[in-house]
Amino acid sequence: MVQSRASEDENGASNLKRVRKLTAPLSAVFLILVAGFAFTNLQAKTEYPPPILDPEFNLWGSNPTLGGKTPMVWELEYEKSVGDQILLQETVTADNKALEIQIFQDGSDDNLTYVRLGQTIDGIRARALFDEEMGIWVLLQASCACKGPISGQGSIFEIETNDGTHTLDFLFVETAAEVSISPSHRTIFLQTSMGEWGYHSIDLVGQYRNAQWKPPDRISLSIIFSASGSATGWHTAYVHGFSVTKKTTLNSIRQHDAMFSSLPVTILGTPLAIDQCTEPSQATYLSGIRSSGTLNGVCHKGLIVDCSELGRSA
Amino acid sequence: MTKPDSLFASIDEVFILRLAFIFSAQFALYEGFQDYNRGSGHPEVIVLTLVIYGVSLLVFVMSLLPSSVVLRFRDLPLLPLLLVMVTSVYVVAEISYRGAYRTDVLAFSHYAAILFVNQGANPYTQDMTKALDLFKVQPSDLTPLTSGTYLMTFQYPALHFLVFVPFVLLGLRDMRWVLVLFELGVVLTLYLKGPRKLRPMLLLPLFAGSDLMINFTAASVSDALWVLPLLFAAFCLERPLALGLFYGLACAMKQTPWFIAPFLLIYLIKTDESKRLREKLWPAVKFAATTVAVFLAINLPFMLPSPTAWFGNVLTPMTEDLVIHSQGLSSLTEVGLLPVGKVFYTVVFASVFLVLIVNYYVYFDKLRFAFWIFPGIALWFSYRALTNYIIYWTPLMLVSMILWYKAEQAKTRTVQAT
Repeated sequence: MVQSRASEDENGASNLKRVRKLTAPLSAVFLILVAGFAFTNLQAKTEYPPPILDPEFNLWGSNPTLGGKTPMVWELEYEKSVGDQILLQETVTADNKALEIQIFQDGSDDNLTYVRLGQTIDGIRARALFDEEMGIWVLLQASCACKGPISGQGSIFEIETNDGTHTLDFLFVETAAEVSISPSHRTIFLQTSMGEWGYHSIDLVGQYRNAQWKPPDRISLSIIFSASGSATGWHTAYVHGFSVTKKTTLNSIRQHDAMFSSLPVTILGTPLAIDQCTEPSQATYLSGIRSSGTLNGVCHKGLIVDCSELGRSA
Repeated sequence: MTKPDSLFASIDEVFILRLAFIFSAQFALYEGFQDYNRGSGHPEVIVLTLVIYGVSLLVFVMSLLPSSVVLRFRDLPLLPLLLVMVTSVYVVAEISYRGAYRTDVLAFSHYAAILFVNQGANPYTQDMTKALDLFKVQPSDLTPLTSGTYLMTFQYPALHFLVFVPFVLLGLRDMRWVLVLFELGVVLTLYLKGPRKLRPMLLLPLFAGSDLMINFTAASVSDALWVLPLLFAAFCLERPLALGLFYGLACAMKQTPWFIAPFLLIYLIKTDESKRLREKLWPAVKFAATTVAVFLAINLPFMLPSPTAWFGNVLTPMTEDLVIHSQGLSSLTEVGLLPVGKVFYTVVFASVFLVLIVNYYVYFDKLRFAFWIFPGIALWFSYRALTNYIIYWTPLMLVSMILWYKAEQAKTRTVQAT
């Protein structure tokens, strides 16, 4: 009996010794296997920080200099004369939550009144910005000439990007115009109907490629609204928000067509057959609205397809 | 007639004390200079800087006086260290940051305490956006989500805001001073519990750099809140009820100490191998029950009215789409060198954690006192591996050193007696 107990103890001790001998190396092997398995199988989705922070202007903080509240994440810069006014507020217009930018130009001098809301995008966020498609929902109100008729150019509403060397200005205008080009500066005119929400693709990648500029590591993105000294009165613009989405392929565009066909759309321009598209790979779908691409198998190249159901996403 | 200390003290002890004198004086001088630069133009900072320089010079001189003097003033290194700790937190918080909180954590917790005091509101159901304005939190200090928005909820167990309630009632405007109180508690507890002849040396790891005791607190990192109760818990390892009480309090402060739970259980089970299994399990059961009771006593009043909100908020790191942000392994993904998702890091973290638990159990005799850094090691592999997840375990490792030292001392005495 005593002998068998002693033998059990000996076995137990020997097992324990074996466990102690094997645990450390087996742990190392286990960790290597898990890391290897995870690395080969779990690469699909990376969660990078978004290129544009607070894209829908949800965060507001007090601004003692300007008075009232202003978007927290977006750096505010402005210029105004004594009688001019700048107002920023959260509002709902035409059923959409929006950032409202109002400028009152009193016309007492020739100075430009402007407001700029910007953020700097760098590192992985800048790379993501150039890998994805950016768009913006805007609504531009006709200026209100409170002190007589609007003179001069009225207001200018635009999105500006600047990488320290190159500047892109995407201007929201009533009448489309050719891209204005200089070695380090391009101005792109985006046709915008007054008083209606419109979605615009901000084609950074295309513009950089066409200009043969190298995509930067750091870029500033700004919303600028300004009124010249002669544009007296109230000027109002609204931004619902930015969208940054994964680039779509032609196949995914066709898939989207099926889902999208039920949405009421207004097609501006002449449709072309899909095989007439010279650059189908550049066709884009953006939050239910596209600046160019296919609809029901028909290509609308370089035209704007408007959607009456604002905010509805395909 | 008693013999002077110097006759009993070894040459090594005096040498160590002299080193501690010089270290503390040197550290104070360094921080004093930093404060001078940060706060030049502020008369009160200049006065404080002069005091710091004066104390530093005094301690420098005293480090090289005769052994009897060094031994008589053996506690002197505490003075420059505590002085610069408080001064630097003031200068960084009030002058460099102009009183703004540099984390959403403290802003939300302070705001939650205000809401609780003024309206009796349950912070887990409240939007915390107003706190950002109230405490001037900068956008760069917020917690971004992959959607481009930010975390705007209170994400910690209830004691993390309840601890501020008395101070809100007292009218304190900056809760960083509560964090400083907790830090002072940590320093003094370690000092008083440490072996007398090595006390000043015990503090040196806490001040090996300004982050742990100064910069993080000044920047509103709130981890000191759980370190102090966990420190008390660490000194009660042999008393399961007291251990459970203090550990429950630490867990009710923040989620970080939750990760030490399996190691504490193993410690309680394996600490005395001579006992039968039932006897070994009993302390672990007592500890676990006390911990759960304390944790629930504090959290249930907020958990019961809205369990979904409570769980959703407290489990935020596991449930929300926080972006990868790290000084750990996942920093490779942050800069685009390793294109893997959060789930990769979660799997690796869980595996490392499991391996540490198994190895702690198997090699308990060797790793007995090493477990305090294990959560820091595992968290370093997670997708959010911030330095404060690691650095705040340092005081707990010092407790291990003290306990180890005392155990060795007791063993030596036993051997000598036999």
